[in-house]
Amino acid sequence: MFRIYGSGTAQMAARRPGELMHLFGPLGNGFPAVDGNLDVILAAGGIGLPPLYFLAKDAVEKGLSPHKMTFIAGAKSKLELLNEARLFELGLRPVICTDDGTAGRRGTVVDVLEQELAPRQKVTVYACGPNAMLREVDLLLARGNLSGFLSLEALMPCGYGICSGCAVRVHPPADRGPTDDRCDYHLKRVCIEGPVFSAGEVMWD
Amino acid sequence: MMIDLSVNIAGVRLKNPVLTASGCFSYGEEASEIYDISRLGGIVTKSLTYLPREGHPPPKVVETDSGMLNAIGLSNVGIDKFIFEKLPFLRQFDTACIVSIAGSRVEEYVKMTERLAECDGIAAIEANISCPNVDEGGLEFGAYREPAGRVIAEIKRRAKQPVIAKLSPNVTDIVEIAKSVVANGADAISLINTLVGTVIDIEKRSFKLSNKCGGLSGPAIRPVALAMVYKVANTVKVPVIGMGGIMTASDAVQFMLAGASAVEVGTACFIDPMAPLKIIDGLRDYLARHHEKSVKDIIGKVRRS
Repeated sequence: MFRIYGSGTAQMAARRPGELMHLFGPLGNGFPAVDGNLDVILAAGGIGLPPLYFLAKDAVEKGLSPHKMTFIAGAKSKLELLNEARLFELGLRPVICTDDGTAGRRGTVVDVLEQELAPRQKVTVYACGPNAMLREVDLLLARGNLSGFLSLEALMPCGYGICSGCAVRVHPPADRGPTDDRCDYHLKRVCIEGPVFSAGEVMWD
Repeated sequence: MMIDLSVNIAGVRLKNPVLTASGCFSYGEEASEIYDISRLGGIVTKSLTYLPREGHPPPKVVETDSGMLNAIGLSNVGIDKFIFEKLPFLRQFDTACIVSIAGSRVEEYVKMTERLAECDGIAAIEANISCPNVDEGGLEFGAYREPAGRVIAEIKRRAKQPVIAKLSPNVTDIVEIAKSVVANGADAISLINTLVGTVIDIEKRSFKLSNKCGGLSGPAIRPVALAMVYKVANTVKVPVIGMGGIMTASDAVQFMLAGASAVEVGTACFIDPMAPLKIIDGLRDYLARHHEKSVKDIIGKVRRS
């Protein structure tokens, strides 16, 4: 599932059923499996829903009760909300929200996440959505000293680690020696060292 | 009929004339998981600097019409880590390993050349004197005859491997730079590096790259590159390695007909990791179709009249 963002995705969208396409993958790291012993929140914004749906599905198939997971599914409006019926089929009781209130609660994924976090002590958050949302999620987690995993978006020229074009700034490792350009950041490639990063790892702009 | 794809660049035998361009192959680990990189004529590493470099912050790339702009900023592991961690990996493969070096001062090129002189398994050094994406050095050397010649002379004095000078197209007359590096001992020339360009986001009224400007590559620059390769190959006596927007075998053939003894494939690797192999196969098909026994027989064979 994809959103039409540029010419590549526009070309993909123009394909008709039955046509052949070259696919190259899987690439990158993916989310760690949901740990059933932890209190877990899955926070999906827009096109970020499918990866978290499959993460939840995997957990349910491995025997985890769907009620052990809180699933937040948000979008700008009802029209942009992806097939949330699938979440109910899985036995989840998702919290649906839209920015304009046309479906579910009115508010962003971050608003709902904040409400969900308030009464809890220890919780692990899995988040996927636009980077602006992930940034807010990361700040919330840092404030509560909570752990989590964020799946980032990036434009990728190659997708398999050779060009460094998709790299994001992360905190430099403590053992990094002197560098030529004396940067206060380290770079990690979203395509193969991501797209999933731990909470607190990324240096947001 | 057996077709001989091998070529010679400054005493280095390449099993075929297709190499991967610097910055478009990292240090080979990623591509080696996709195909047998021993099938390549050679590989050119990401440009190394004496100390490691993180590179520019994002956004580092932007798509343009028929091409892309990048401002990576010479991200690399540094010469030491390359020698201890990356080179042993590359030595396992039966392909020419060409090490690209870049610096902001002559002294850095010299120190790296001395380190590489002690190493086995390096076919040649490609001196990147043309990176458009660092504030100091790089392009400063490649932009003028005298400093270009001087840095190549200093590298040559210490090098145990043949030295390839990689030239910038961002100059008034690339032929003059080519003559200068050859007069100072360059064993071969590779060209072209990227063309300086930029893109502006009109809504935000900001540059699309964090570094403001970047290097343009891809099909957009191919005709420019081809003309420069033709001019340089017709002037200097050393072998020329051509690059700039080579996406297919027919592009590669054009460069060879223009006078390139080998080609480097760069941006095409981003679209399709298998592009270099497809170009090798397509080159063989072209030679068969034209009843050529050796790829060497098409080098510089474009009709002049």
